[in-house]
Amino acid sequence: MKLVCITKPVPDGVSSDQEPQVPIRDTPAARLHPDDASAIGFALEIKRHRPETQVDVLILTEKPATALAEDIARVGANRVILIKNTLYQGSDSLTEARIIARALEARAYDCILAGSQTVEGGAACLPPQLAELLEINHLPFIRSVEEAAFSATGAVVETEDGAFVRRYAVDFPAILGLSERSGYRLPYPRLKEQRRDVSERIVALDNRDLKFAPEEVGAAAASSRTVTLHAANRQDRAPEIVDADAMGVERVHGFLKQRGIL
Amino acid sequence: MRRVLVIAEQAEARVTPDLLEAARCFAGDAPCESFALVASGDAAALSGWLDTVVSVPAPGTGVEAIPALVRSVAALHREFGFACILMPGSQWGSMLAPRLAARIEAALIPEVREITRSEQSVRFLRRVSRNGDLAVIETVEGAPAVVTLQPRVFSSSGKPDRTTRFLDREGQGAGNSGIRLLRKTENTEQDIRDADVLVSAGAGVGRRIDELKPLADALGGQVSASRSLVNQGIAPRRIQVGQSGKTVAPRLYMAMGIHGASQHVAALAGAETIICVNTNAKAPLCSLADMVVVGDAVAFAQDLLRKIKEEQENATD
Repeated sequence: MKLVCITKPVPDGVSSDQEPQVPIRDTPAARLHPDDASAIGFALEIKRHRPETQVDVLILTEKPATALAEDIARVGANRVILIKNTLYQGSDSLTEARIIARALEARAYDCILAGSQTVEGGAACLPPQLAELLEINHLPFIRSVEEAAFSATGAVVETEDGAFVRRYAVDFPAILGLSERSGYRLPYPRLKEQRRDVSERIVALDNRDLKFAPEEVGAAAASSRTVTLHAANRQDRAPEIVDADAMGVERVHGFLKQRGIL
Repeated sequence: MRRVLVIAEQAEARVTPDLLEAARCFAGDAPCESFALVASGDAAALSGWLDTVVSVPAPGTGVEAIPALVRSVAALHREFGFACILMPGSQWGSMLAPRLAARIEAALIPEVREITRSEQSVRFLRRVSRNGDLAVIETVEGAPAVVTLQPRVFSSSGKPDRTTRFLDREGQGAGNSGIRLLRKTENTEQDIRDADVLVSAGAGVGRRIDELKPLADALGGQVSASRSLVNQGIAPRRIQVGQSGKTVAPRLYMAMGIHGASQHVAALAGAETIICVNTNAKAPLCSLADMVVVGDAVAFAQDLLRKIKEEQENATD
């Protein structure tokens, strides 16, 4: 069985330039999204029970991520593919999906594993766009996978939204989007493993391999742009203070209507 | 002429007023033809609200039907050339929109809360971080936009005053999608991290936490609790907000009798709006609130609930 996990390390927050106000996601601190970590953790759990399983982890990153890649290799991934090129900076999710799709062209897989959510808490856009480009199914918000039924041809999973829990059978190839609520965790490398040389398992890809034209990637290829960013600053906000009387009730009621909550 | 399409959520089988209002905002005062796509829903209910309503058969209402629906919308887009395609920001919409944007090579703009049109451009306002940072986005010249709406932000101000034409189109390849729904059950243990609204009880509420439930229900939300109530055994750990509980990002967080230890505050960074109800207006959490109500939390919850119900009754009379 061949599993490919895809991930894009996320920034530890968004800040903005004062002039012009544009979002800066390219912060020095980047981390693996907990959902992505769950997806890799699940793949490694399958490999632990079925050692013949091939687990490749594909990391799309604008930051140095060799240490992260080595740690993932040390906890059991067969291969970690780093896609890194300054040309790709500022790409939107569709362009990123195209980059990953091209990197996958030469690789066989039965199932692609990804996260379900973005760092902002919304639904991740890259996995469904990759699914559309590859013309395969995508099933996100997975809270559990029936490990015994997981095979090279399909899986049985449970997804969750606010109101319902749904149990699906899905044929492969497909992209499964795991939620951190699945309980799968990316293990830490053991102490004795931490200095093990895993460089032979790390593959670096850049535009010499993927061969995109400059106008096909990066901000030049994006179909939308951020005009301004309004940074929230709760600390500077003075709260409105009302008493818990009829006027206070009236004011809060009006406030909730104004905010579209009522 | 510019054209805008709204897509009804299949499980609900109707176009909601917020989609109609968003379409109206997108059109502005410029000439704009409005379309709705209804997949096996009640097309007639939209008479007067839009210029054209297109019905397509749907192979299902869940994720298994999305690839076929994407193909149907793409075919419609080829026929009419929409400048903007709007859909709800539900889980269903968030699965459909990215695939559709990839299919038709459109700009994907998720969870939009405001659309403004000027002579030169259309701008979309959306949240871009858990801290509540907002970004104004515009599409690159000529690119269509696929937009999901933040729930309950747009409210309808239009009237059903249009002459609507009704069209039928073939579905695009139902068949075996490769995903089969085996079972669907109600989610009895909803997670507070999914809630849009949290009415959260602290030590000031204590054992009266259950009395907050009717207000949470009226606001379409859930009850959560601070660590103090969990440690006392009054509330279960699964509804605890805080560093040792859950980090939440609701649109509204009503802190009822919560002092606001730093561990609690740290888990609220993503809350969009905070209302504190507390007898002590100097409680640490109050300094982060949008509004502070000074008084007893449970009594205020009951009064606010009464007001909400009165308004609802007046609206239905």
